[in-house]
Amino acid sequence: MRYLILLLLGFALGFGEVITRSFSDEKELEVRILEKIFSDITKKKKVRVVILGSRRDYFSKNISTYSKRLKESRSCGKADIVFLAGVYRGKLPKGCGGKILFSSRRKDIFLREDCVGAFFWKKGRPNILFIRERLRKKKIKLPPEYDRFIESLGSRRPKPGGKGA
Amino acid sequence: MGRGRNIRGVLAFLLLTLNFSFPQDIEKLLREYEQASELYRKTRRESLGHVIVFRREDLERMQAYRLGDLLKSLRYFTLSNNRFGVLSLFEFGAYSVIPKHYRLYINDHEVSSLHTGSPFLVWENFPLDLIEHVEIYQAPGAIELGNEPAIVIIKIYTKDPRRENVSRIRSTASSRKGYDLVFYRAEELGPETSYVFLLSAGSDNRKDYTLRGETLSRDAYYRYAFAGLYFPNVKLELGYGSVNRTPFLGFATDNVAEEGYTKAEDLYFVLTAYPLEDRSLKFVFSLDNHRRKHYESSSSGLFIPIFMDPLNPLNNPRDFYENTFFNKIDIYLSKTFTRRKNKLLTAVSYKLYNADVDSRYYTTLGGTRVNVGSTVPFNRQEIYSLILEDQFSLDPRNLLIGGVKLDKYYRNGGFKDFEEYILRVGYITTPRRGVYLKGFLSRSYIPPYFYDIEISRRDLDTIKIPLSATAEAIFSFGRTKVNVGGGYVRVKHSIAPDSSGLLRNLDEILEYRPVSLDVEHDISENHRIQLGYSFFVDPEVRLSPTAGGYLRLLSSFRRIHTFAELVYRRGFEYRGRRIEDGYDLSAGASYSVTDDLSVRIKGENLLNRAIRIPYLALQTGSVDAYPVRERTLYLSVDWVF
Repeated sequence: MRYLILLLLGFALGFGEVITRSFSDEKELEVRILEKIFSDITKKKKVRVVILGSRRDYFSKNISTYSKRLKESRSCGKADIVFLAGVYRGKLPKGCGGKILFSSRRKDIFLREDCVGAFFWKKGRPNILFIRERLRKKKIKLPPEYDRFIESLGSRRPKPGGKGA
Repeated sequence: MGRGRNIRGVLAFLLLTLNFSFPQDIEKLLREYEQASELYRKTRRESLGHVIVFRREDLERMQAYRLGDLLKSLRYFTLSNNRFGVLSLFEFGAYSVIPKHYRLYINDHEVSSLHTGSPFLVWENFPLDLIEHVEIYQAPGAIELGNEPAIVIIKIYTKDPRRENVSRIRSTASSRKGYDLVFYRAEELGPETSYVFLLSAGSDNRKDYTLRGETLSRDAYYRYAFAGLYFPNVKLELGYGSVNRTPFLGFATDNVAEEGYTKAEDLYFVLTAYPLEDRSLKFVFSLDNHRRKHYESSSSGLFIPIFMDPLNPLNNPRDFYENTFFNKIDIYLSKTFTRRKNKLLTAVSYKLYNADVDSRYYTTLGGTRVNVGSTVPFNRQEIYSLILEDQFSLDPRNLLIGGVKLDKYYRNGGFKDFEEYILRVGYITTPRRGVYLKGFLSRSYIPPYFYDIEISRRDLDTIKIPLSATAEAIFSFGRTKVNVGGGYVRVKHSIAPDSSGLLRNLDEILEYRPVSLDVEHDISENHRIQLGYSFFVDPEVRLSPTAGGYLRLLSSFRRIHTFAELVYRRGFEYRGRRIEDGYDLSAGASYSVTDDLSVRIKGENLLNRAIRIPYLALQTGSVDAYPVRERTLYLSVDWVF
């Protein structure tokens, strides 16, 4: 009987999760996607992130509200990843060079040579894109579920004069 | 036995563990995020009425390029063309020349004609390429938007440029030598700023008919432009539409307008601002300009009731020309007070309409030119409105809605000022999971428009809707959704032509009892079936179909997306002419050559058995009937870059 209750509880919780998920706030899901991507990139359960860019406040607030695994870091020193949220012009702050760079804009992939990938909107749909060569350079191995999001830069090189990291 | 218990224990433990710790697949997360982010979840207003939503995915699969593609299956209505070839909607059983109780919004702006109240003369062919989703609200008495009173509100929402970041070109060619060219660009411009820009041109060529030795044509050439600039709390939009139509039947007494055109242009600007950070204060300011030129000629004479001379037919018009201008200023200010269980909307709106006749004359059959100018001295109208609507949540499953809208009309030219009001009560409940009930009771009205008064040369009273009771129940079982709806609507003082053709208010009370059933079933993730049937119980008027339904299949197979839709409208009799049942079959397929390039083919009225719309030839008393569109094929290429 105990097991039956446990089984039912299991179903109930599973079911409950689905209901909650289907009504989840889009902001929460957005953070959960970032949380998963950053954890899979760094292979860490707790990830320290530096957030830069015009949408820093938005992401900073949402990450602190919805994520237990992402921790915002003010300086790059101890950070695992640098997240460009929205438009960020100019050079990265001291200590951020060489860190893993991820963006919320597709453009940054072409503007910044260190940007390994981006989570962005295009054609009305959310997209994820990783650049194979840059992942390799940073020695990042992503799980197979990301295979369809990884592309080679091929002939699309960063524009001359683009702002490098 | 012990081992069995252990296994059950382990299974139970595993199930619990899976629920709590199994990381979610990134694709699944992305899909959920996309669904949760769909814009219609933010824009749809349950309080506006019974809503039908066409999402972006539906529009793409159905290859819906213009409004008519969506409206032809609309429950309780038949898609038609009026005598000028302009899209119109008949309520089941009814026959009206100008549809004036439909409101069309592009985002926050109402684009219905300032002259007739109908939005379709200019905006019928506005391309849906830039449209994210379409909401169609059915129920009289919607007040939240500060709109002119309506029975149907169509809201089309443009795509959010921050989510597009692309340019797109679509070109379409039709088997009737029509074409469509659409270009838009939508992107994020900088931090918190984005824009859209659309240009479109096309020709809606339809089959020509030969009637009494003359050619009957209803082709339209149109151009549209739309630009939007978006900041976090301010939106600026500019819209332009222009159409040049051939006359179709026009006013001709023998149903053949031998020469003629209608040229119409709309230009509008709208500013929407949310001055407070919580967006509870909304301000909308808009300017509209509408221009229309109409000319037609028929050797048999034109039937324009106010110009008819019952004593001497030679004084009746043979040619008619008019060049008219209209403009509108609309200001809307609302404040929403939100508490834990209560949401109170308070709003005021002001509208100023101006009409100006540059030139209007006719030439009689006897050859005399008669300048008529304005047929009535009424050319300016101001409407002040006060809106209050409260949504009170009894508990998370029960919502009460109550609202009132007071309208004060000031009119010039000796036409009387008047006050009107709309009252509305609604109740929405979800008594159990998968069951959703919604009902509205309202008192409403429809005002006469400039056009109604001009062509009657007398004042008209508002159409009263003293009682409208509508309800719907939605049941969801797994992948199936069933929607049952119905209601009772009583209408007083309808506006209809009298024996001389002039409009007047009818004394009798008309009653409508609509009933509908819609079913949607997701066969799998990529295959969906939708069907519906609606009718009016014991309709008092039977001048158009009184029942109809549709069956729609939407499918995806890897890179191929297909759809098929059959729209049925029941046959009827119109002034002694039997109109057979109509079956309008459309089908299409699109193939994605790459992620950014697709080729599409679509056919409309493939059986050539769509419902025919009857038109009376006054001279002979005969009835001619034509479908809205004959069989037509469309080939499109769509490129995103």
